Amino acid sequence: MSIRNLCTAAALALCGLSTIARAQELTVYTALEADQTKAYQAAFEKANAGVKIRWVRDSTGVVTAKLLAEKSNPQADVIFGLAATSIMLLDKEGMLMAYAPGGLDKIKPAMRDAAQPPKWVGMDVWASALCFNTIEAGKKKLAAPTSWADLAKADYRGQIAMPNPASSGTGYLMVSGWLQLMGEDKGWAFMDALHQNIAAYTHSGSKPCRQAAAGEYTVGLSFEYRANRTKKDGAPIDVVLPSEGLGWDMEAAAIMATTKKADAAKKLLDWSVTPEANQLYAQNFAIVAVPGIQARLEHIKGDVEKMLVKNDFTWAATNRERILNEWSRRYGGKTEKQ
Amino acid sequence: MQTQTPSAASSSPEPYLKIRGVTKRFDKFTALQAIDLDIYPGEFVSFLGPSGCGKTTLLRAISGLDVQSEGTISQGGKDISTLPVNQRDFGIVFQSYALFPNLRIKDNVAYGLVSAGRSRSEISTRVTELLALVGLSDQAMKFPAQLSGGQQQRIALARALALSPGLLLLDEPLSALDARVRARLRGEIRDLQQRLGITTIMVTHDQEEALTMSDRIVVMSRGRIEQVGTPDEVYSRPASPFVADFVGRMNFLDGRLVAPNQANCKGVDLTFAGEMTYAAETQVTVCVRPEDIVVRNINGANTNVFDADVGVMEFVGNHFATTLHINGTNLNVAADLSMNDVRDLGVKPGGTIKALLPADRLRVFATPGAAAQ
Amino acid sequence: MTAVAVEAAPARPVRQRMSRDDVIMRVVLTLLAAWLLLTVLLPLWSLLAKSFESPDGRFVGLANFVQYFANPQLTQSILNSVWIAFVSTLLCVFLAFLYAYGVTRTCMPWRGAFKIVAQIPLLAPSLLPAISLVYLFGNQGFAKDILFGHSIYGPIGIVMGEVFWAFPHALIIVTTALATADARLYEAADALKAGAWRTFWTVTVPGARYGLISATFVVFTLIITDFGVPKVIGGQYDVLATDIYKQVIGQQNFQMGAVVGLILLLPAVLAFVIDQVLQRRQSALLSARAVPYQPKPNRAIDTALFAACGLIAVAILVIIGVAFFASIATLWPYNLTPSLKNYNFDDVDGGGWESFFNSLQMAALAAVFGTAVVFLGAYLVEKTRGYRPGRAIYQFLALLPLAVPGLVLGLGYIFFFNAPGNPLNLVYGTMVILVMCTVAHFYSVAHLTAVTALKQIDQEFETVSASLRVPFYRTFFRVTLPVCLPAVLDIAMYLFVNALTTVSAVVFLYAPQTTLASIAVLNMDDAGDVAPAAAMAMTLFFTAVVVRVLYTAATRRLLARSQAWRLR
Repeated sequence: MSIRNLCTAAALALCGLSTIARAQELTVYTALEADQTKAYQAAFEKANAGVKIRWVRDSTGVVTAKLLAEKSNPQADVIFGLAATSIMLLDKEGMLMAYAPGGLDKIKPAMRDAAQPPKWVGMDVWASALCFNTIEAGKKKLAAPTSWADLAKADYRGQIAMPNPASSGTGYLMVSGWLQLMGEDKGWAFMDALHQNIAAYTHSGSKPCRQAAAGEYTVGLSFEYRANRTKKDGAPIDVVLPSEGLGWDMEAAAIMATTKKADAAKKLLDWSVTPEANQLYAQNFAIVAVPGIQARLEHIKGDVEKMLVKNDFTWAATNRERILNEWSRRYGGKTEKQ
Repeated sequence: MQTQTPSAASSSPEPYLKIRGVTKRFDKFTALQAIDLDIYPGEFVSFLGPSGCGKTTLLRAISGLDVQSEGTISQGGKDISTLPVNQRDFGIVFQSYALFPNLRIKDNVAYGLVSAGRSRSEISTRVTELLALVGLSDQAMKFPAQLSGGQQQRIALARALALSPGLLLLDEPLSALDARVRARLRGEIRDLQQRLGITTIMVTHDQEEALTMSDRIVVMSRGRIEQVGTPDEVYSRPASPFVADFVGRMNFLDGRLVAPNQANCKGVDLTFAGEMTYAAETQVTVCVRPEDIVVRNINGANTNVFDADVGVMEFVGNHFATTLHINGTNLNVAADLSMNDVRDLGVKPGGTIKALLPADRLRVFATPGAAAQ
Repeated sequence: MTAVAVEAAPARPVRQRMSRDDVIMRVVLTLLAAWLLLTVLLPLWSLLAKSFESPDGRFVGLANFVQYFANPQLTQSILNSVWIAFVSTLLCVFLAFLYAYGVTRTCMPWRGAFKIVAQIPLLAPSLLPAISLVYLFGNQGFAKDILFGHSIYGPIGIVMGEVFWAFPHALIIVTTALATADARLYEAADALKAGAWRTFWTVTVPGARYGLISATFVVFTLIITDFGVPKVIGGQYDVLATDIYKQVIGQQNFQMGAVVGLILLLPAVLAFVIDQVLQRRQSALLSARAVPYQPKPNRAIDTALFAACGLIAVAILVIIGVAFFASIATLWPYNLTPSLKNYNFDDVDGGGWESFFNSLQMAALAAVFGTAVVFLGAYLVEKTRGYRPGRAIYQFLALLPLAVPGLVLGLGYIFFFNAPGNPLNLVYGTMVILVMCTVAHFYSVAHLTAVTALKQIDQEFETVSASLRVPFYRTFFRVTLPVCLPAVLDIAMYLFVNALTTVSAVVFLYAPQTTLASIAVLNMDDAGDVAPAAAMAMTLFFTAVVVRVLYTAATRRLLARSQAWRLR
């Protein structure tokens, strides 16, 4: 019996080993949506025979947490599609390898790390957007909001869901956007008022839009890809881009300093800056790294790029902990909420 | 002093099992205190005593299941004190039978033979032989649950004997069975043992079992041996009040020594055979078995003859358990009067009869604590 | 006359030589104890150590604890957790008692069906009732008016979900307690002309007292450590279990996660210790030989309990039914046309169908490997002669997981197995670590099942075998294992179903190639894909049902063939 057990254990261990040891399989950490990764993977693997992608997918906060937790024994080879604010945090920990992909000069200068060679390169921009359930709004006789300020009105009490910035990248880009747009004092005052109307803070940035789609709440604060996609799926929602401007973050890619598959990893970054890749990004996002590639988001009305607030990534990254602490202090402890 | 004479059954002077100074302690409790015992080849020896007396502990020490804290045990001239169970040479039968429920009877009996590497035909022959020995040849293909308790215990015996061990250990083998089966199996086991001539130790708390089956009985109490002797010795010449009390029924009469061969119990002078070395006035207990009290054909010259009033008479089937009040004293004695005695002498409650307490049947013990010399 | 034993020559303690059997048994038991040390104690130790460290690994004493208790938001969770667990436990044990009473002590109809329905919650992850409750009582819920305007997101929802999920656990214990009642006490009460009500309070309740207390502690521990229900339906109502998750996953604060984990460990350990003490006392009480109680028909009582049990059973079926309905609705609540769209897991988070097959694989490995280790360990701890310290240590390690919440164990695994110096970190991120953690997490109940089965067979088999010079392993395979086969299969089934549905033990440990279906449910729900989450939960449920049915059919055949000896 015992011997058989040992054999089982050994066999199990070997399974584990073999997956690690199989060459040219990249372990890629990502916060991209599950429905996006498929197309990217197919295109990349087609262009780079012999390299396969193994995704580790989770929300921005989780992926960041995982990477930090594994700092002393990193599992990832590449980070592909994670908020630039999070990637900068990892950079600060010295976890990234500097690499200038071929064709780096073809992407917008704003969409890459300023260092030479850069520690990370941008892929696309994702920006906040509102999902507004027209059926529920009709029942409750609610007017569609057009601005952030509208959301603070008493009409929307208990009707709004928003991602928790501590766990959601989308949540954080909203908060950091408001603070940069309105200034710290006014920004917090706005959130105090908004907080009165919030029914739920969700873990993920997609959930508020999904909830609005299901009529659970009337307004979901989310991001433009999810809003577009949800409407495409047939949900009775309108996508609203608030008039003051949109908080945003950049999805970026980087190579882990500890990777043992640097060659394959570099291929993925090389691919990321190609026009072909950016065409795919543009299926999902309005703004991508390579200039001149047009986005096709059928349900998003308005020019997302023009509506982006002025965003200082370094500020957003370095102040992340302070902002989140302040946010939790103000809104995290309120337990009984309608 | 213990008497350790070999019984008639054994002719060899060299003991088969030698136990020397065996002590067993569990934490602070001492279960066995310096046990010395010899068991001779072919003997059937019973360890008898109340629960907690150490009889099972001694058996477990002999089998190696619980090794003694001190002392040595040798079997067939070989020191086995520190040997593990599977290097000792014995077969064992438990109260619970411990038959393997998922194996057929033949496989149960063959269990040890298979591991011993015997050939298939050899095993088959031996199993047939053993089943015949215990009279269950026709049950080979059944499962234990399909057999009665008595049958199961005989299978357990056959299994224990399969490897022809030098020593057979029986741990309360009959306790789980009902009275009739028990009585029958008693005879069968004894018979088998005699035929095979196998040295056997049985642990029991049932004196009847011990008396009927054993060559010798080891009476134990509180971790010590109280007496070792033939059933007759233990019954009729108990070595201590404990043995007297535990084996059979007994009158205990408290008194004091008035002469080396006479004690006074509540005003009654009782003369006994032999002499006590204690000083006069030593507190003693005089013991006499109820069935030893004589009520007919009493010769006037006999000592220890008294007039007695007949008290309560209980009919117990083959005799009357009768209480006698010795006239002129407040000494009460229990006597077993046979049916014949009662009928012939017309004994009835309230009547008066003569009673004899035969001097050679009285056992006298100094009361513990009063035995200072 | 008096026997005076002659003192033997200077006594030296006798030490028995070990046989080959003894050596093998001790070595294997030691190896298994080492295995438990590795998979239970060392991870916990790492967790403890982590709670005294700063993020960069320096020892900072109690600083993390000071920081924790200085934060009223975090400490509020302690109160919330205790309150939720307290209310849910009372409710759950009360309902379980009613139900058990109906099933064991009345002649109401359909008792067999009631027993089966009550087992349903065991076959689903705890996320499932919570998802159902959203559909039932959420803002678009069928039955939202029942709550009179109160929100299901928060304590109400958590309590409802926990009661559902913990119900079968309480029921099993209470049913056992009620089933072992002594009919003679009822006859005595009858003879003394005690009324039904008086008999109930003086005989029934005291008789089931230890069962009720034990159920209370077991359920309390389950609920206070459960993560699935509050995660899905807790809203902003934080409890300790969700705090650990938030600290670790959301805030990247592993030290604080360790602190909360230790705090969560406290009530669980306390409940465990009290329960152990009480159980010890109980065994002394139940030693008398009882005559089994046979209920007599009583129209009023039978009807009342049929109604009560009926309501509970319907509630269970509704919760499962709603989850199923939600999983096949095209777009809740606007398009209820049935479709299998939500079962297309490859388009949503969580790893797609692959995660389902991973779960099957993980559950199968946990069942096979876990059962082997558990049964062998229980056998050795019961049968090894001597070796007291070794056996005591093993017994302690085997029972320890009962007091360790899955999240806490999982977090400990990160700290222990992902430490850079640990040569075992090659298992990190593989199926192996998931199987290890799952088996460790569910070890105690499986161990106790094995020990109980081993205690029920004759204790002298080993002695007889040794006296016949048969090596122990032959008797183990030839006799002990076949005789205990029903218990062995039970253990395998228990491990399989739990491995399939567990979230808490593995939520920190899965990797891209080892995503699991139960965690996919969590992640889908998190991402707002609630309908696919319900679909995956239902897939797990149906799988557990199918496996359970197959298992019942297979064991019936197997037992009929191999256990012919059980029949007279």
